[in-house]
Amino acid sequence: VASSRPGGSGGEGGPRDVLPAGALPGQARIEHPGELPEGRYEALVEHAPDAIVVLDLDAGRFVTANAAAERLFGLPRERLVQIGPTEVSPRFQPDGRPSREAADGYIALALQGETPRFDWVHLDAAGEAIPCEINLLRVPDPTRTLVRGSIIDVRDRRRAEEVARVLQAERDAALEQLSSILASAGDGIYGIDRDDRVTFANPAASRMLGWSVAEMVGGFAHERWHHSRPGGEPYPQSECPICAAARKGRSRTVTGEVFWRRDGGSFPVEYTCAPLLHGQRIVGTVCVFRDTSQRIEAEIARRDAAAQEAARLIAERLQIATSALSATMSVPDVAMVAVSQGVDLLGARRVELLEYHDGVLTTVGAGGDGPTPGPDDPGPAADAARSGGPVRIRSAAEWRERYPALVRRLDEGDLLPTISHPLPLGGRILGVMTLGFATAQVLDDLDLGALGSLAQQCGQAIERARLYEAEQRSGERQTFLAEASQLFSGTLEEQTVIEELARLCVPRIADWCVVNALSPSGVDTLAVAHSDPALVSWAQEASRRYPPDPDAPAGVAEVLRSGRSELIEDITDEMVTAAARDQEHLKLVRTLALCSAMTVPVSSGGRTLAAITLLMGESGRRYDEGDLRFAEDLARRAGLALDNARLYAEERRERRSASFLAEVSGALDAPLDVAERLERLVGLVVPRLADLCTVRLADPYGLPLAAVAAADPERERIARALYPRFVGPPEEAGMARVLTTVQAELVREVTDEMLQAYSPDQAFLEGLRALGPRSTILVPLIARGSAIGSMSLIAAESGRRYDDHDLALAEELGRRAGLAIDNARLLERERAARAEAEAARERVARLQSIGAALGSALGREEVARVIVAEGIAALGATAGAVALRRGDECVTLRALGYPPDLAAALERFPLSAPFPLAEAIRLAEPVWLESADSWWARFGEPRAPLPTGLALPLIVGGRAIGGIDFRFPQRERAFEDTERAFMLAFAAQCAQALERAERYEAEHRIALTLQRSLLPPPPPTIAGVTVALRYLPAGEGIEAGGDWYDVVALDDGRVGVAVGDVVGRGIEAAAVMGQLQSALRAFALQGEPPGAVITRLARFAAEVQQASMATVAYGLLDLESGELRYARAGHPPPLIVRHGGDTEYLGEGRGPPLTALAGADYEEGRATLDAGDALLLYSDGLIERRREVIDEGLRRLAQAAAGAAGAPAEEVCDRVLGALLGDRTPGDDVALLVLRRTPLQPSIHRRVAARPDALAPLRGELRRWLRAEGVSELETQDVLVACGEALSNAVEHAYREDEPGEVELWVSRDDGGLLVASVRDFGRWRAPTGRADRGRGLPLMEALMDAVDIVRERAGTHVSMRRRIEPPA
Amino acid sequence: MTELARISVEQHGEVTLARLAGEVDMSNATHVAAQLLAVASGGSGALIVDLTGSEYLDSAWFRAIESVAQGLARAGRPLRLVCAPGAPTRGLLELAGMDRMLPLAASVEEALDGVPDG
Repeated sequence: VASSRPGGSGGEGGPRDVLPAGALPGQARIEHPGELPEGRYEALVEHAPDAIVVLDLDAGRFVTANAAAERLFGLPRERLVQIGPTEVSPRFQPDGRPSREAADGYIALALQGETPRFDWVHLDAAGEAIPCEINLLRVPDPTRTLVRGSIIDVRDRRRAEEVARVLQAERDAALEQLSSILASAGDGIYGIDRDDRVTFANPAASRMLGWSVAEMVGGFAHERWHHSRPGGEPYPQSECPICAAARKGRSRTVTGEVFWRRDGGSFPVEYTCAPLLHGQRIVGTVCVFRDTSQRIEAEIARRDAAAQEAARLIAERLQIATSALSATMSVPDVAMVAVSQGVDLLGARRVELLEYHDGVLTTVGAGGDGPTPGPDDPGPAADAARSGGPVRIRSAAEWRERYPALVRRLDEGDLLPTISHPLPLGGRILGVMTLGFATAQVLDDLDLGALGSLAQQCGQAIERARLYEAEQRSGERQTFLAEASQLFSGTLEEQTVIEELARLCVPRIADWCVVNALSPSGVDTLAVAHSDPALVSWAQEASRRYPPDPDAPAGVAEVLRSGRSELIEDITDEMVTAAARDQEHLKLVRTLALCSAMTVPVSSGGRTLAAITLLMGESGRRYDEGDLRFAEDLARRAGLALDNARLYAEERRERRSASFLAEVSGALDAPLDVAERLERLVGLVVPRLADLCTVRLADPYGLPLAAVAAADPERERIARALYPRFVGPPEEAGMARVLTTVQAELVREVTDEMLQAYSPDQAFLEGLRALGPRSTILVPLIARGSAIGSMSLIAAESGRRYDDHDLALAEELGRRAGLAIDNARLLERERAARAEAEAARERVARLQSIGAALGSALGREEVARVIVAEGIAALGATAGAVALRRGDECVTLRALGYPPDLAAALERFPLSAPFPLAEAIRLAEPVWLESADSWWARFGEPRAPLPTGLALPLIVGGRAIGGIDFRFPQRERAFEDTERAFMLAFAAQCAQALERAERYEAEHRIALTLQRSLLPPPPPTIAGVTVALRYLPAGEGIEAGGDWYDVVALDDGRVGVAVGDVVGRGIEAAAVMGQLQSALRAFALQGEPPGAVITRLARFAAEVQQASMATVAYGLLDLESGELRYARAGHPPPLIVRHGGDTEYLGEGRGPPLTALAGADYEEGRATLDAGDALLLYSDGLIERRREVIDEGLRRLAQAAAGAAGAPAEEVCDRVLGALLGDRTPGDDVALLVLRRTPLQPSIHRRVAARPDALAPLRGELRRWLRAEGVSELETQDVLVACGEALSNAVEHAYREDEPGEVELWVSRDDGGLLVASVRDFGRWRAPTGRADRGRGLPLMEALMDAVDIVRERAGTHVSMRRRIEPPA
Repeated sequence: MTELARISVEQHGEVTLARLAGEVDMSNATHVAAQLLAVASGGSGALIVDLTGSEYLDSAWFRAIESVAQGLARAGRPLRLVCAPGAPTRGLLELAGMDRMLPLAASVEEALDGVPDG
């Protein structure tokens, strides 16, 4: 892992391994970032190749200037920092603007955040104008307004442009020279373009052909003077060698043809045509011709002069070659001219031009027929280059003898007589020209001379082309470097710098450009560039699959390590093979056909930041030392830019960190509790600083997880499930070690091995892998000098890697969070203390009411409820219980606030049970548990959910009858002496109250049992009435009362009802009640009217009663007439609820209560109870309420009863009790008796003509009635069909057709839900006419109804059916 | 007099589907039977009688449907009944054992599935 932080540990640039925290104890490197070195920026500026100045706008002068600026302006720095831009600029810029005004405009742009770039002219110390290009950039500074200017001296570039101009001028001069040659030549010369139009012509041509030069130019040469052959037959243009020269790129010399003059005459010509080159392009043809008419005449005379003539010819041709060569600007151009001239001038069959450079021969161009021998060594060209003299091979035999190796490559037919001639210049050999000839002709001296001359000219041309190319390249490089500097100075993003750099190099100085840097995992590829984007992504993929070997002794890794450049001028296949990882890699690299490579370090301040590798592939170009120096220059600039970008990035990061910390502090300073603060903290950290953040807070038992946040909900779920499982000794766990060392830990790159070492088991490992941590930071949360917890920042899916900056930020975060948590805890403690004081005050106030509450609670359950409720309230406990001892067991009466499992265990437990309550009862001693530790020590349970509390025995008569238990969730809960005293007093009160309740309850149970046994069983069913009875004993803890009721059915169709109340409680009252009830029943059964019954009862009571008083009401109802007679002895008035809803208290028949003193006659009252009306008899417990006049109770009862008017008796009971008592247990016994007269009328009664068509309407009525009665749909259907069948029978069988009669339907439903349907006819039964048909009716009726009775009489047939209807749901 | 029972007809290929709505008692049972036979003459396959919409049926209806079944059986044509569970008369049909005499489907689709040429 390399420290990638600029300015870090200076010379230590090599790889450093950082092990994961927790993986290897004691070996983890703990890193602390240093401060940003002072003067870092200045150092960067100082060594920049471009002049850099920083202008303080407020002061109006430069504050910084680097060495390059000193050189540029020719002023020492001490001087520069005293002046501003005005002093080093002319008053006006070349475009006429005043310099000051123009400069202000650019500076304003820079201040707006732009990076203006513009041309400028500066003045140096000598007053000389320096053309510059300037880049402005605002420099962030808290106190000053600073603008940085980087000034590029563009004089170099201008110079390159000048060279290009000069070369252009040379080319123009050459053309001028050519035209002067044209003018002075004796032969006719003209040029045509590729369209055969004349482009130029010389005066000789004009003279011979008869057109003026002006007339010739633009005309068609072939049409004008070359249109016919000597005999006059037409000469097609397609056969014309002049026209073909341009197409074929070949020169030819032709004799025996004629040119036609303007006047129509012709003359024999000999002409030479050669392609006209412009650069590498053939732009036309040059034709040189001569009138041979005189020569033919004087042929013989001139034959002697043939040699001279030939020499002249060669000289002329050389002239053409010269002019053609002079126009060439590149070596390939030279080759092209040389080839064509070799063929034309010397009649070679094939020509090859090779360039000789640094001892290497390279074929530049070739032409003619067949293959050429090439640069092979041994070979003629190589020998010629080496020897500096021509090499001649005269025959195939000589070929075989001299170059056997080369010969193997060539066919027999290709072994032509050959001459390889060096191309010399000033003693140097620049190349070789190899010519092959068709016949074994021997070149004469003249030819050899011409070849030598041509070779010399070619040499010159090559030299010139090389110079030109070099000049051009140098110019290009200058431009290139200037461009690169511009790009770099305008960029502040590291990645952009790198990408721009790579992009810039392709294709101008490389086919491929790759930028690498060292990374913890090896060598990273930062950028790849190629002119084809598809190839780029392919190469990126390849570099991922085959990353550079970080340990390779040479190549990228070595350059990155050593900072020294590497150049491979020629990449051989052996190198490729050696470097390839496997066959596939080899194949891959071979397809690139890389031929040359160089790798240069990108360095700054002595450190290597990256390496640029430039590769030549398909273009076939090769790098040399010059290229390497150029690349190094480029890399230096890139290094500065990169450093600059990093500096800027750091600056920005510092700012961001500061604002982040400010935000965190703000969030944590809010008055929140610990959990809330932690939630805020992790919420801020994720996702800005981490993908996953966990916080643990130390407690005496470990380091439990306190907060988790993750950007990805799934990861959060995993983390929440995984991290609480975190166990292990502190020396091995990173989290815990952070606590002891109070040192942050950084793991830049998490490996799977670390995860394995960290995981206690496979499941944990799988969980960790699912979280996918890439890089982690662990920091302690520090408060008051010690670590109170730890925080982990984990980078996962974002792929971010933490560095020293992140570590520093996290550490600061840890400090602030620790402080915030500590504050929150203090706050919580303060609050708790305040709350405790408040609770104590409340307890004192409560104490006074507890006694009263316990005193008034009568039942055991109620006492238990009070004990638990008051105890919890007084102590501020979370849970409380009270238990009673039953032999060796305890039974809990009430438990509140315990976790379910604990509550279940408490329900019933042995005295030996290992918890405080059992122990307190067993030992009859208080158990105080003031801390989780003491709990642990005493009961061996380390993680009790409620680990503090108290258990006190309830002692009566020196014996523990039970105990009370109260618990707290706090790990510490002290019991002050005052509190202990209070609780012991409370326990004593509880014991007494419970004891008392136990006693009361025992008595109450006996009385209740007695009373219940005396009350009559549910009354028998009495036709015409329904009776409902209710007896509600008062709540527990209250003595059983003496309320009673009775229903007596007399034989004569009368029914008597009574309700009585014996004043007093307990067993005695119950006994009196039993006697009174028996007596009343006896008197009633004798048929006595109510007045007499009560009178006799009063006498009886006077005899049997000791001290109690009793009241009674008795009513006697005649079921036939509805007459009700009644009498009362001190009892509240019975109530009649009419069917329609009216209510009526029966206030007559008053008499005194039954007492020992009684002896009076009691009067009767009378009323009528109609069908559907209900009579209510009740005891005063129903209507009496404390602090309320009795009239109010009577009013409430009447109201409730009216609401139940018309309802069945049971429903009246329920509704009345519900309305008056609700859910509450009555304070006194309540007896209620409801007697309702059953409605006697049939609900539906119809008599209709016994005809089939009468049935449907009747069914309709019945259906409506049943629905109105609330009968369910299914039951309705059953009743309808049953009645339908009975009616059908009557219609079909009762009457003869001539004596139509009637049929009667009568359906009623009683209170109890019994439905009775009756169908009668009044005719004589006729036997069914068909057997099958009516056979189905009766079974259907029987299936549908509960009972079916059929009575056939003389007067008709009566079908009676019953069905129990379910009450509506 | 308003019609007590209403019959609507659909033809499904050779199968005739008659939907019976309303009530059938002794006053109209014979008429309903005649109507069903008339309706069935429109097709040559099975007759499906859907009773889901019926509100009242009694033994008169059972007699009528038996005569329809016999009439169709003579022509070699099956009769199917449909009555959806929860329909007012479904319980009665089951109680009377009608489902044992004639196939009783819960839906028209089920009945169509069970007859040829559906």
